[in-house]
Amino acid sequence: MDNYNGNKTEEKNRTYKVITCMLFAAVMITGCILGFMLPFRPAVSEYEKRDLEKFPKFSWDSLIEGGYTDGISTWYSDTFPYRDTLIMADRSVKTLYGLNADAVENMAEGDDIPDFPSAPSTPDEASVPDNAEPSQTKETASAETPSSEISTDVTESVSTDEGSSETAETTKEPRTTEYVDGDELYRMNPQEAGNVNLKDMVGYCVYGFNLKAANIYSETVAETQKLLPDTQVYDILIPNNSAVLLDEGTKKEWRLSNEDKAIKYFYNYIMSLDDKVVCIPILDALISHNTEYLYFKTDHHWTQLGAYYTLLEFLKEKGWEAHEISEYTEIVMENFLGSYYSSNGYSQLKNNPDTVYAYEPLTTNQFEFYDTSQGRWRQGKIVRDLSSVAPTQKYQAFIYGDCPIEYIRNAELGTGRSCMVVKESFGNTFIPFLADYYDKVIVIDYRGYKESIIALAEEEGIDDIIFINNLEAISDTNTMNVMKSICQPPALQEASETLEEAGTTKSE
Amino acid sequence: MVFSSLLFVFAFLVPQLALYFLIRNTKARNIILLFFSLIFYAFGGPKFVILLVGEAFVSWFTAKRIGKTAFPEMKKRWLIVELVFMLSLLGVFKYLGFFLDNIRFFTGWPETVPQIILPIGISFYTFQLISYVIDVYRGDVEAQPAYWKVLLYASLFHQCIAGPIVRYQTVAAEIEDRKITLNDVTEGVRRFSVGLAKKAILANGCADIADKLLPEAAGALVNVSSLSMWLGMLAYMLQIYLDFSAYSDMAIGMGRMVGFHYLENFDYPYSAHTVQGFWRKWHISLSTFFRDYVYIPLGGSRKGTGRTIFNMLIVWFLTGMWHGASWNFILWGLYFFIFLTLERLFLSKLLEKNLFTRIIGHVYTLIVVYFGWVLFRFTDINNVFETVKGLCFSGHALYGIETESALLNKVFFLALAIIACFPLGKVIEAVLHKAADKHDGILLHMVNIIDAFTPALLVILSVLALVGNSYNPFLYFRF
Repeated sequence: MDNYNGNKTEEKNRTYKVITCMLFAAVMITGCILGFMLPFRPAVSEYEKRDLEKFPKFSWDSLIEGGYTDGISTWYSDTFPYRDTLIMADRSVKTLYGLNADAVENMAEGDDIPDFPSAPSTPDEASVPDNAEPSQTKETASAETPSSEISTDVTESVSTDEGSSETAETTKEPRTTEYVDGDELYRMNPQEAGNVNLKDMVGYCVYGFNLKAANIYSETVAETQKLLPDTQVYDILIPNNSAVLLDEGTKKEWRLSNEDKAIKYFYNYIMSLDDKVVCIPILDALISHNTEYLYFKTDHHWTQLGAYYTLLEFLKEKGWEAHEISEYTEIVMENFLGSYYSSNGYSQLKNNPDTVYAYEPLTTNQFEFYDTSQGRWRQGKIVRDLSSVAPTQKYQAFIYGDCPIEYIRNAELGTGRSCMVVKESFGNTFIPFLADYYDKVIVIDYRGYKESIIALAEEEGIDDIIFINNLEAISDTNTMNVMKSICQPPALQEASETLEEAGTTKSE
Repeated sequence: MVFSSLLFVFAFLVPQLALYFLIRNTKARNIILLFFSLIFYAFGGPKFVILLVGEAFVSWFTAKRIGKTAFPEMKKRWLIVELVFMLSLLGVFKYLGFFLDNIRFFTGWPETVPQIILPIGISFYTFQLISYVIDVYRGDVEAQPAYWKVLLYASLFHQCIAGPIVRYQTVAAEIEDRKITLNDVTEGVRRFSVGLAKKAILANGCADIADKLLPEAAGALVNVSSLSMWLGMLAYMLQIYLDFSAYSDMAIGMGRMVGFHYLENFDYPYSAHTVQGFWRKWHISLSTFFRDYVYIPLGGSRKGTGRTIFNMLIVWFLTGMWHGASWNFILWGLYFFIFLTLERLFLSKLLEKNLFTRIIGHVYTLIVVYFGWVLFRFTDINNVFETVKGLCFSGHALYGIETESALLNKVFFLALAIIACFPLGKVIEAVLHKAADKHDGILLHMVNIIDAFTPALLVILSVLALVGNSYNPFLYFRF
């Protein structure tokens, strides 16, 4: 009997062992088959808002050195079928790792912000700061002695500019052919979210001031004004949510650079270089409304309400009348999970999604934009309803995201006014409001546009140029060199392109 | 290719196992293993396949010569040929840059130091082949007449790039003929899944914490608070064990699935209560290599205390250097030499006295090992000093908000990682099985069902962690 029982147990054990192996084999074989199903491999990640790795190009050199096989390995894992779903699942598992408390993983490492002798300047008082280091004063001179300066700047910009080279000649004139509507999405150079910390289920930008980038930016803005004496240049610097919403103790604890001080530095420096530029401070206005929904919780951008309060400051400066926010048609898009979520997958943010409130312009909702992915001009809605797209994509409701160049034509307005906006994605929520004040608005995303905006402004007879930029976005030297390169007259741009090509050939 | 990549798990391992199980003949199976092993190795840089194939050829040839000749002098000569050849290659690829850097530091010559890329796994397969030829020389094992079998032994993807350093005698018989039993396959499956999860989930997660809290960029450590450093180093201590032992688990598991029985390489080293005990449980195949091929030939402990200590010095200098061509690794080896010497002289006797002293011993061992990992982590000696300063609560803020954040958000994860470093899981499993066996009822079925589902579940969880986890550090490029 004992013997019989023993055999029975062994038999049972055997069965469980077979089950163990079969289950393991089932998972492995499923994964293997899935891996070979090439049509199921995604090319882009909606979730992470990025193009996924491409299969590497073959060359003998890269094969011998190992680059080719590395590329295959990265491609295989990066484009694994259903990757977004699998990542979401993994992030759900990771919520079990701890208590999902505030996540403070980054400390800012900004440069010291030089003090200015006086607060925002009248032209005579302002001067180039003594401690704003020789490098920038030298660079200021670059307009007069371009050749030596440009060479370095442009070379720097080449390496980082991942933008759309196809924009070339075609972007000059909008030749609208096709009207697009609905949920079509574009991925054009999204701004990186930068470092983020979480506090009370809200993501905050960890901002560090970059003196070199600040100087390039300021000089570029002032230089644009100098090159276009008949045009009025405006500069609006958008603070990060941390400056507007966080208490002083937390800012100190995270070692954030003081954005108030930083903005004053920018404005003082710009106006010391060219006093015609009108700098519009908005930080105080935003702080006075900081109990309202000015910034997203899961995304690094501001809401259109934040942009609206900025518009009020701009209109005050212009002496133009503002519309009440209630006059605009509101579109509500729930469940938006922005870049702070998609770049880090914090469950704290997933449980606290945003709602996008978008306001349609009053007089026109049509515009023309250059579609980089298709290499042609198209037409669409300035503000559109993206309620039904993926939760991470809803910021594209405004002007289709980050196209290199866009035109809003609203001649019926009859103001006879025109403006050009130089922006990165923060400007997207501000631009729809301008449609009601200018007959023509040209929107330039400096990260994608390649040509001289000076020439374009002259050709189009632009009255106002509005630089509207976020402090975090302009704290990168390479990006600022890219901006500088399009704010030059075409002759200088060509010269720098030649140098750029020479540099590239040399480095090859 | 690394084990903890989707490409390896799905596109490599599955086809390899499928083909392997379709064929019954051992020779054909060996050919499949060799073929896949060479592809696996070529993935890390095809040009280095020549090195692997060449080293295997020279070792096969010298071993064969040693086996054939009856003259001890000739045997010795061929052994020297082998050692000079193998160690020169290792020296050139791994240590020449380091050596020239040091000469340049003192003399200014040469002006430029050539950047030599370290062929992946060279430290592992070179040692394996050396051990093979020495074993043949000593008469412990017969020389293998077939070259391709020596190549298979050296290149076998299970252990070729990250260990364990398998001795030829361990697998000699199994290369010729091996049986695969259900028991072996099941154990292999379990072991591989545990290893994969240990690496993909636990070790990578710990690495993430360690890297955030202990930045390696020059000067960055100055701003890190003392408690963050303690937490960061703890995460690193967990990472390095989980990572390294995970590779051994996967190697042993994959070997087992196809009928090879490799020896254990880690035996819960953090549960040791002396540093000596730690080294008996840590990377066992490396410690035994140095013991058998360096320490004992030098005379071991048979030639008096002075000579023993000298022999230990040599061994620990080499152990440190084996881990990387950098001063911090050498210092790391010598650091252990100091404690091992103290233990040999008097300390281990004190620590072995009773339960109380053993507990003290355990704490002491963990602290010694913990601080040892500081040396291991930073190649820049300034970073080592800065970290030790911080760990000693000197010149650094006590606490930063990031400490609390990391701790609270990873508290359960860290607890799991710590548990995984100790035999607790094994003990619980044994107790459960024992209880279940007695009752032979629902409990037994439950335990068996959990057992059966665990490997598949671990693979799924690991795959989730690997998809989209661009952070998958491979620690053994230096070795």
